[in-house]
Amino acid sequence: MISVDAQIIFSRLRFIPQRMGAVLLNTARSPFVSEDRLFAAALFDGDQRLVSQTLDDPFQMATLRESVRAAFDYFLFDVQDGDVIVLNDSFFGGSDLTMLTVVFPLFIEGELRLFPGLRLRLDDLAGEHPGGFHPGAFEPWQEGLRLTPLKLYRRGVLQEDILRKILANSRTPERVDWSVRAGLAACRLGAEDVRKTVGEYGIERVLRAINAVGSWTKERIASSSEGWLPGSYRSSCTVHYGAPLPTGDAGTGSGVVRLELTVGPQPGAFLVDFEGTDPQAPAFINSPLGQTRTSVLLPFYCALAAESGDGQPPELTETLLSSVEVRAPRGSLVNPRPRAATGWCASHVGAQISGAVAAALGHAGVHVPFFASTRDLRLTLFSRPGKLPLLFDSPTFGAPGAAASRFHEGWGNGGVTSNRRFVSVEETERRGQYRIHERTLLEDRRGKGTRRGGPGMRVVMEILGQERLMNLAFDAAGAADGGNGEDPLGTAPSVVVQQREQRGADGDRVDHWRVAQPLAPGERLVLEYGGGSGWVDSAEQTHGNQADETEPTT
Amino acid sequence: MSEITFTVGVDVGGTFTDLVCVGSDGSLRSVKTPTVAEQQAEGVLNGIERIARLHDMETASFLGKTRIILHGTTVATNTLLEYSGAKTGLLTTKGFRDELEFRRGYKESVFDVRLPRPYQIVPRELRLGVPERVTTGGEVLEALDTAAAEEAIDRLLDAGVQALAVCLFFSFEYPDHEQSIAEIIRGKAPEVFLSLSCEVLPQIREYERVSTTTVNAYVGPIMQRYLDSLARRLQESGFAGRLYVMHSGGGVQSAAQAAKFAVGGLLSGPAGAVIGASRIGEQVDTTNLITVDMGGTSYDVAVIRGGEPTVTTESWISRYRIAVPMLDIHTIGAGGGSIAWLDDGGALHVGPRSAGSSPGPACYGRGGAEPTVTDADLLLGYIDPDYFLGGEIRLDVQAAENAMDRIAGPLGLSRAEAAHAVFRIVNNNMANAIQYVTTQRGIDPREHALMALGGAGAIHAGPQAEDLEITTIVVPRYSSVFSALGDVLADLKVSEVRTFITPVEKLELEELNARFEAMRASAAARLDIGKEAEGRLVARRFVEMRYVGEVHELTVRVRSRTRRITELNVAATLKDFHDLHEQRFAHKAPDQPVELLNLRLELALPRKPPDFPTRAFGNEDPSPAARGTRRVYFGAYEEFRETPVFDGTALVPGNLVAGPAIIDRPDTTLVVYPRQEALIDQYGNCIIELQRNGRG
Repeated sequence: MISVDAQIIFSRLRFIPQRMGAVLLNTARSPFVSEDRLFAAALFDGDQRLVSQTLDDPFQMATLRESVRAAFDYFLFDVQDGDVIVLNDSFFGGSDLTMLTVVFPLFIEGELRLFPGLRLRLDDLAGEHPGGFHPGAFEPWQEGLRLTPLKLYRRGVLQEDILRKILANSRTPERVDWSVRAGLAACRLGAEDVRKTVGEYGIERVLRAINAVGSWTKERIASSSEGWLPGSYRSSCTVHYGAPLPTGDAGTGSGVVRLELTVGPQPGAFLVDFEGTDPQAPAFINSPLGQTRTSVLLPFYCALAAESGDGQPPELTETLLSSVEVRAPRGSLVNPRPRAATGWCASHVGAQISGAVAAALGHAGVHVPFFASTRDLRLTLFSRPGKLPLLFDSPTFGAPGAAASRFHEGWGNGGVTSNRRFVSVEETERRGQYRIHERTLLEDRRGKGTRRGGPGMRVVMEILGQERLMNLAFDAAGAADGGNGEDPLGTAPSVVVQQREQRGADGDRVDHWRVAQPLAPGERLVLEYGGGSGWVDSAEQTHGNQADETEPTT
Repeated sequence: MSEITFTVGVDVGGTFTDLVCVGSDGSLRSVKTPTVAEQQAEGVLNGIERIARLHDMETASFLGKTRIILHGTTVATNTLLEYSGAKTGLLTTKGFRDELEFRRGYKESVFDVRLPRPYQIVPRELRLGVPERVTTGGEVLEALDTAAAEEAIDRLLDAGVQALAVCLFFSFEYPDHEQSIAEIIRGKAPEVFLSLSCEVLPQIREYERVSTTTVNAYVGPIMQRYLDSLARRLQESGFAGRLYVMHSGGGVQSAAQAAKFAVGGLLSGPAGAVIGASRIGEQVDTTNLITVDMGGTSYDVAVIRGGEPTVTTESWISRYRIAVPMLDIHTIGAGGGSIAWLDDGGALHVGPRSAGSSPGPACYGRGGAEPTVTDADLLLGYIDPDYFLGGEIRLDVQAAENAMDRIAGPLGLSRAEAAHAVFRIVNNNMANAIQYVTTQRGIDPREHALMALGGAGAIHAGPQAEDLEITTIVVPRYSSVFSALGDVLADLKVSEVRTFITPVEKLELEELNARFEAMRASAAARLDIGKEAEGRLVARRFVEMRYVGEVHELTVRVRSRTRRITELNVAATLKDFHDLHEQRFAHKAPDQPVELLNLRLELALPRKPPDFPTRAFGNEDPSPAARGTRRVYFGAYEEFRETPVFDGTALVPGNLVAGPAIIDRPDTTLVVYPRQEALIDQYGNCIIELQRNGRG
């Protein structure tokens, strides 16, 4: 039960991160923010408990709170009014090094009671290749500059040296500068709104409302999960990677690692234990703990949405975050030590973790939309080192089709793990970097089972202007069902490079990943994003019945 | 003495067709008549017949003296909402026929696994690609393959399409290919409705363009058929004047233009209310207004700044992107029929599900069993069960009580407390909607008056205004026929848009002026007003600008007093852009490069506003209009209080009603809350002033 008073006050608080997010979305110069929507804005209480958060980028579900906490732990007893802390370190609650956390401590009557924070994607922050996406990386320094918590402002004074250091380590300093400005502006607005709300209702009433919403969220979670079967359910999957391995490293020494987990659901909560998961890999796929928590939370959140009476998930609050406990062995793939590379943690291993959790929950009678069927493809294109002007882009030409759910066929892109907007062909061509020759549905990738997933899409794009280098990775195998690495669904992406003389022919098929592959002007990339698979009860997932559900049609 | 002539505004809503008639003698009369859903023209003619009778005239004679009919219609809206448009085909550049379905990857609710896929107004088999390719700057990479185009057109015609949309890449810079295709279609099937993206929305971004152009094709034939039928029937009934149709941009245009650019008619109805509000705002000397229109199922909010309604190009209607400029009307599912319900955590919610008009709120006695906002308003004493809609509907209090008990028990509240909880939650939802359209746009609601429209708007406006620290509420005299009134008050207006991407630092003034002149000429041709009126045209020019690298642009009015834009004007506009950026997004960077993206021009022929009848101010004492008391619940007292009730039709200018009080009018109820005072002005509008501090 929640009082009307608490509901009304909380609706004001919920509005604050939304407004912060709107500032980021509308003003960021980085397409990662303005089109890919890789950001999240939130409010926290004085104990760094999450009050409310936007889900523009669902992958920040836990990483924002985790990195805010890490910042406060780092500056224990040294957080002052007017300070602004920034950090991106994967091992301080984050995910990959491209995501910057901005913490904006706000003191009300001398006490830290309620404050805004956000995470947003930066274009570039050092590393071997532009954009922090390096499929050949085996240590974090190849991927970017690690920012442990730093005070960008001290008692309201900008620390020019810190800002200059950050900008000096970017190949795109103007864009990074603008993103930082947008982040600060959003936080300032958030702080202003917090002051206004607290001024209107008083801090004690506001905190009571937050607590009331916490209790209400707990009730909603309990109600949605009352049919879950207590017990212990195992799931595993194989994670592939193709990066070159340095000899003598602590990694597994092969391109395959195993993810093992046990889910223990109880009404209103569950525990996920990754005991048995392989050690961290000498590749860019390791999932820091903050990311692992997010990947566990996503299927849980979707299950709660699916099971709730109104189809809506509960509020993303501290109550929700803390209802999931994650145990991950230190030094493992899902909780690596700080020497691990993490650039592809979210959409590769993260998606596999979500899929594996979903499969395990399925055994407990919990229905979760099938995650691992919508496998992602990541691509960055950049100038050869030293070549000017520097061109760097990570365009979203398309996305895989969404998986079908128990309730409906999937449609559009795989929205549960992405909120991206595809580039406008005309805007892209106007910038003179690419020409897009085709973007169509791949109807024949659609399953014909009882529930068909969303169709995939085919994009043909041509390099214009100067030569570009391509970093690319996609997961063509390893569905989270105890699979054997094959792709029975026909839903994996495919990438073909066509040289000028190969147009109309097959071209050269790319195998899972590429590091700095040169693409000459006139060369074309044929990208096929797989469709979402048909839905089957995750408790009954096998390669066989998935294939039945998703047999291609013509 | 010259002959009296009439101007008639007609707004066809879901339930009622409203008409306002302004005579050249200064008279103003209005009627409400039931809408005939399948035959909107029928309802319009019925209304005209009634208004003619009010003038003691035969319909033919009345229409013979009617010079102008200005019409707001929901035909386009309903067609898109119900997906009942024409069978439509779409021709695109080869390889891009699915852009309409991709929607650039937009999904309204990423976690909603039950969200159905959007209905395809053009199924895939009717979307065909044509070999041709133009790129930036209008450079032709591949000439149009006319043979292939003919084949595709034949295929679509064979499939029986009634409308064809054509959207090719960069047609806003090189329209020739689209026009060639149009020629082929006209040659083969002149009866087919044509919608070319280079005409409907000649601006960059293919998804926005193809969606808008396709919706135009989908609703166009239906709109055309309706307007043709209405014009014919009016003519047969004796009308020889001009028929204008309200468009979403807040102006009226000829019926022919309205049919050709039917997508511009999607907000034809609500736009009238916003225009009416801006004009009444001038009347009450308040040019900064937030209008709130509370109907049965929805709550529309719009902002008027300096007398001008805000405009957006970011609309989604019925899950389709509409990028033509439209009045920025934000709608949420909160109306009198909104249902109160408890979620599985025990929290009370109101809406967006609505009892609609059938069965309607429980108190309508038509079988509705769930508690609604109207039921709460009734139980709190705000509505008189015997005087709802002027006594047309007798409300069933017992049914409302039974419905409210369904949530009162689980909430552990008394019936009155539960009703007040519903009242507070819906007020809060509506206040949040107002916050959304103001603070999200960098606008401070406290600098505005709240104009309450719709049947229940004036019941709920008081607490909302207090919540937002707004100190003035305006309830117009003609609020029940407000859209029709707005139609009468609207100017003849069209807007043009053209993409013109250029860094501001490299802007060539001659080219900018030449482009705006061309747009003006095109707009003037669309207005079709004749040479003699051209001198009265008023142009407003806008540029859409952004910092280089941003993806979203801001629209800034060009500050120029002459037809020619000077360097000084550009500098002033640039400064306005920086300031607007700061206002909207809390930061600006005057040292950063800025680029133009699109030019926009509005060309209007102002129409002389009617002289509204006024009455001299009289006594402050409202007691001659008193009609007893009733028990009303006020949050400030946390109990029912015996509250004076006034007959709104008997109040006269100068009367001052101190809160708490109720003013019953046949079309609406005004609740004057504690610490509020209502004044009737010389036009019959009610102005409610609020004391600052505290909440009621």
